[in-house]
Amino acid sequence: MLVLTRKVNESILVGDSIEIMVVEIKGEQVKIGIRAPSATRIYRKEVFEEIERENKRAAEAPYVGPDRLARILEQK
Amino acid sequence: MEIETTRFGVIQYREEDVLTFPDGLLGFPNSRRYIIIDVGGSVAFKWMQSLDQPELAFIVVRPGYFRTDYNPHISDDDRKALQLDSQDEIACFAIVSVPRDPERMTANLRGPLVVNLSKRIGRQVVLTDERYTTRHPIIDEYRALASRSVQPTSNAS
Repeated sequence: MLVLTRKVNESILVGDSIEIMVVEIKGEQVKIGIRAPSATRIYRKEVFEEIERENKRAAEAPYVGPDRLARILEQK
Repeated sequence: MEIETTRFGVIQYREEDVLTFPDGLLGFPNSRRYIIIDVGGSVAFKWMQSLDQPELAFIVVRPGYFRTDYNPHISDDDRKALQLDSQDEIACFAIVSVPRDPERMTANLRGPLVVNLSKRIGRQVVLTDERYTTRHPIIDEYRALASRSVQPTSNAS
């Protein structure tokens, strides 16, 4: 991984069209600004990891099948 | 066609029923072909069985059965990956997690499975919308909606 040192208001350019700027540093938190073409999808990495974890949990978990689920839902 | 699955034994399917997820699902990149099957006659809940990994199956549900206002935004990238044309029919499913206490089942509304039904292509879409979570509780909303007997909507835009 490339590691660069930056100060507040300094930027990094990725290719021609993506700019990443350090906007604010407060204690342990860093606020980052990103300028990128609208087609570029930007996510917190945790979201991907969370969905991956949830997929694995769903694949392991089913102690009961859909028919039982439907019956549970239709109670009450 | 037929496949021997771990959960359901041998099941028959037609090639035209296969849904292809070119990128797989997150965490399961090598399982790309799935079929949706009815087991036990539930209208809302189905199994999505992998054709590439006989032991892999998910319970899926259309979010419209408990959230009529669910309306995930499909980005241009996702549309391209789904080869989505304006006349194509689209459907949305959420993967259901069922813990030991099934009453606490949840649906993953943050990473819905969007399917181009016309071309049989699917994709797990990662939403940026913070309103949706990976563990959305189902049961209360489902029961509230069922008691008003509302039909599911198509759930995608």
